[in-house]
Amino acid sequence: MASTSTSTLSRKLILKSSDGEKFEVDENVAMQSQTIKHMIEDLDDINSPIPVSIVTGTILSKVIEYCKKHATEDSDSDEQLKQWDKEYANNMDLNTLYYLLLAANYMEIKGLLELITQCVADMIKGKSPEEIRAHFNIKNDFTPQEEANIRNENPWAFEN
Amino acid sequence: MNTTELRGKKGIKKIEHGNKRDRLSELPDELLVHILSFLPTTDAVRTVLLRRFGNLWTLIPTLTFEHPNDDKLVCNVLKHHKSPVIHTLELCDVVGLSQATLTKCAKLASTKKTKDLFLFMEYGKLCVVPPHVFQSQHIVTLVLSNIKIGLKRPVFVGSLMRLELVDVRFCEGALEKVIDGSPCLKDLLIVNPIGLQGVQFTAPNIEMLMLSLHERHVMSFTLDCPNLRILHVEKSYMSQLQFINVSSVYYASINPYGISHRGLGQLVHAFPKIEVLIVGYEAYAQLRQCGNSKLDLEDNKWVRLSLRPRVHGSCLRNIICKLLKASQCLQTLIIYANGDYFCDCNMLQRELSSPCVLKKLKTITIHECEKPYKGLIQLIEFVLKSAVVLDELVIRCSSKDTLFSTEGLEFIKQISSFPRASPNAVAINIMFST
Repeated sequence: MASTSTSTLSRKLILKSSDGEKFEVDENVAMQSQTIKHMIEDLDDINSPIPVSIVTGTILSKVIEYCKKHATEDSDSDEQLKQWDKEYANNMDLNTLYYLLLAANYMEIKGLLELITQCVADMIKGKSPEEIRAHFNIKNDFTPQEEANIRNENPWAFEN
Repeated sequence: MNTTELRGKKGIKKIEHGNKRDRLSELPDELLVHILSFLPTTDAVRTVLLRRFGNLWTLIPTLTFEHPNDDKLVCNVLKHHKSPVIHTLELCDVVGLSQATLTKCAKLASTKKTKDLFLFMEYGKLCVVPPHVFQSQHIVTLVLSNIKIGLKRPVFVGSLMRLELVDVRFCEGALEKVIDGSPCLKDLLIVNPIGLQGVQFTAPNIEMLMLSLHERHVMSFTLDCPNLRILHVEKSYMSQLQFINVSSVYYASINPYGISHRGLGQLVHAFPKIEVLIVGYEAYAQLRQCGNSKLDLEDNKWVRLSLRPRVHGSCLRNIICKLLKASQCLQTLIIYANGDYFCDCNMLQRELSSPCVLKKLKTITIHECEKPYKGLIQLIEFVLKSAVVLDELVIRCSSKDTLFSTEGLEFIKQISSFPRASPNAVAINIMFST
């Protein structure tokens, strides 16, 4: 990917992941995170690294990839951007999705949080409890007897 | 080499290990509720069978009932739902939904401060919009379909900004009551209304109006919306539309039945601030600086396209090529040249160098030609090169002087020398209007 474009006016910020990795990003890229936006407002010296305490370098680089794509407005149409989002989310394994979800929530990046949430919701949609358990590796769940009891208590939820 | 391979393997192993962990159950409640709110409510409710989820579904702020849920399910969800707010409530073709349950939904939407309410009712069964809907001071978006509005008293919905009414049956005066009672309404969409006769809209707040009046219901709409900016009209007769004040409209797309007796030219006068006007197969565009136009560049079926520069320096950057490529049915191109189509961005040159074939363009008319502007000459060169069946190029100058000045003669010479794609003998007619 071609890096640094024409936006020479934009200030640079340094984000530091939980495992100490540093990323230099344009201010407008980082500002998509409400959390970072608020942090900068309180910060006197923007040249010092901004700690993103719960996010590892691997995940932070993926978050930045998303923010970069969504910071440049005019290059892509909405349709192209949606397609990009879809491919971006589809390329993640469950583990990464989990960390991205936590990161997006912590960093308050609305678009990313919605994208990943939708992606996980789509994995649940239309599946039976057994299928959901298998998909997400959920163990030690209800026994068939317990499950039958819940079904009997809420029959309306399982009709048709 | 060896170390890298080893590392790579380790990496893969680690991921596999990570993937086997039950990450979903490790998420905090807040995020699980968020995930559930993205599901159709039926799916969300059924997660009660997963230990980690339990009754979390009762906290979701979004309820979406999609076909084929039934009345009982809706009732039970409403009964068990615990979150103090429901941002979005959507009923979508719920089979067998009773009026009583619909009323319960509306009541709950009202008390739980619903912002977006969507009621798509089952076709063929006519429920009435419960009065609570029009008493809510939280609703921002309201979408109603296959339902009846029968209001007896005036209403007030101070928060409503967008209203969509599709296949709605109106009792007398109901639509007027809703519009009068929605002072913040900006977007209004009416598709196939039933039971309306003549409606006069006097609404300074409305900025976008979409009307699709179907043939079989002959009615008239009189628009008095001084701040209306965007107007879409589909499947209607022009005679159904009357304008009192639509002076702020800058985008209008009107697709009437049959050929309208009011042509595009007349409509341009009805909208003094118009930038883009589309009437059936005709389009008119007033170009802004640097092509910042609202023209939809999707493929179109226009046979006639008129372009006018809005201010000096209106620029065709980014648009002319895409526009002409998207207009493959175009037979007539009209260019008003009372200003230059060229600005400092110099993008036109680049745009015009990409090839384009105009298969049906027969006539190009250049109106109000003042001066041989550079942008205009480039545009003419481009069209002559692209139009393969062109018959005629007409240039109408605004004064004799222009034509006989040295500049003018040079202009004519230049145009005559441009290569042409059309094998026909292209008649270049230059005339002046008095």
